[in-house]
Amino acid sequence: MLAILVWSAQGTGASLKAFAEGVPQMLAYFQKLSPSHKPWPLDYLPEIKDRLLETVKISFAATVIGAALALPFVMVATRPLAANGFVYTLGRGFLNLIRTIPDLVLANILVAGFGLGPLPGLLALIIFTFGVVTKLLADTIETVDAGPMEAIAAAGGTRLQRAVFAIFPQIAPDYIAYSLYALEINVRVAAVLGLVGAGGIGQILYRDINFFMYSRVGMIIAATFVVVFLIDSTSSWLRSKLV
Amino acid sequence: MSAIEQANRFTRPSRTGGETARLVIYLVLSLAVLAWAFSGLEVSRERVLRGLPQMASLFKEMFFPPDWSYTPKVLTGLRESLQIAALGTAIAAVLALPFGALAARNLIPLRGVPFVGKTLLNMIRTFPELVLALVFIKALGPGPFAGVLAVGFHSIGMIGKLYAERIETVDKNALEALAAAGASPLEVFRYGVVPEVLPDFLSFALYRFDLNVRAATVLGLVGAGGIGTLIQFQINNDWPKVGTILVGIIITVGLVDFISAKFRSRLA
Repeated sequence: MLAILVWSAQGTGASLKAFAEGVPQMLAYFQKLSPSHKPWPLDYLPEIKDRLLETVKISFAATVIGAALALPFVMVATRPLAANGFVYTLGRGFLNLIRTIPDLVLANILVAGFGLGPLPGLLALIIFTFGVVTKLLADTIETVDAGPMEAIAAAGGTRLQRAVFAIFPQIAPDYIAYSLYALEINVRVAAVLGLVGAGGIGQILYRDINFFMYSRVGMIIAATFVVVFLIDSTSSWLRSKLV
Repeated sequence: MSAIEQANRFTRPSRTGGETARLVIYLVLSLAVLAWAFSGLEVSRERVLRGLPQMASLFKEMFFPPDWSYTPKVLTGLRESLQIAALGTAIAAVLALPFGALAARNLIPLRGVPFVGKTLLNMIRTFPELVLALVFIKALGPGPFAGVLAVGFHSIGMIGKLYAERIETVDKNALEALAAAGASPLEVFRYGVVPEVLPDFLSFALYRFDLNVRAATVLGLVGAGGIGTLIQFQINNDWPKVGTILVGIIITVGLVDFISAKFRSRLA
């Protein structure tokens, strides 16, 4: 393991020396971002608010749509519900494939197809949410109590009836918890989607950073922090109540 | 009573009024969220329809066939991403130790400390890696080192929280016995906590490594090293090369997931 780390340090140019040399520069940079260096331009707040709202909207919409798409897909991605082994393998394979594509790479490519703006970001996050929620849900369903399902099967129930009456009631709290979990990730990703032109607060962050607008950058980072922190805390508190 | 109703009755009380009401509330809530989220969002059906054929043709350009001659460069980029993820995870796994200990409710007798520790961890995790990377790049210059620091800093939040939650499940009696035998708090930690939690701690770090490999593939989009650098170069420029990059990322991330899951199931 140590060998891997040494090799990694050489490959990335990381060293304690580089870090020690960087610390004063970092402190100087943070100094410039803070309002004590130069008062923050409060007239910039409306634009920050609009962009942050866009970020929040993208993440909420993507979570609801992605999670809704996940529900029917478990019919092919879980062993107890899939029609046969072939469908199951195919469903799981598809799921694993889309889960390996990093969200921002996906957003970047979707920007090329759909143009700049929140649309490609929204689509990327829908796909991502769908992947996460389906995966977690499918894993849960495979460990769920099989008794009710067998009862329905014995009574001549179809696959859909088995899912709706035996499985979904058992996994409902998990389903909501997984959706909230996806929301927490989505808010963070939606905050940086703008770096590849896919809408939200990241767009003005990237612009202002590159134009050395220190006070604006400080403000954007602080505002993003507050919003992400609030959504994240609320959501994980809700999750702790659920399970 | 139909067979389904019977089966339903057999497994749980029949659908109560409260349950149906809750279902309706969730549905209405979801629809309200959707309606609000789409209000004022620049998303139109027409743009979706216009984009789809364009995506299809991009897809064809990327994968039929990818530019295999680009493979050596892709491998170098992937190697750098793996290195960023490995080093960043290792840094976080070590730095998270004190945070995890402070945030665990059963180690520190003062009630305020674990709360402060947990809040601190939540705050660390709030900053997305890419925002951190941007800031580190401005302060240190572009390159993979900025990526390592971004991944390392961000990961402390999640790893520290998992550490704390695991420490909280350690048997309290054993710790009290050690303390009663005259062990200092540090010794209690070293001999009472560490041996029991170590395998799980490794497992948490491995899990975070999975996530960090994904993160390290996009750091290059802002100049913080790894395979993302190549994406940045080739996107909108040479699509078959982008196809090769994507194939490389999918295989790498899939392999890392698989191997890490194997290791973790052995640790558990």
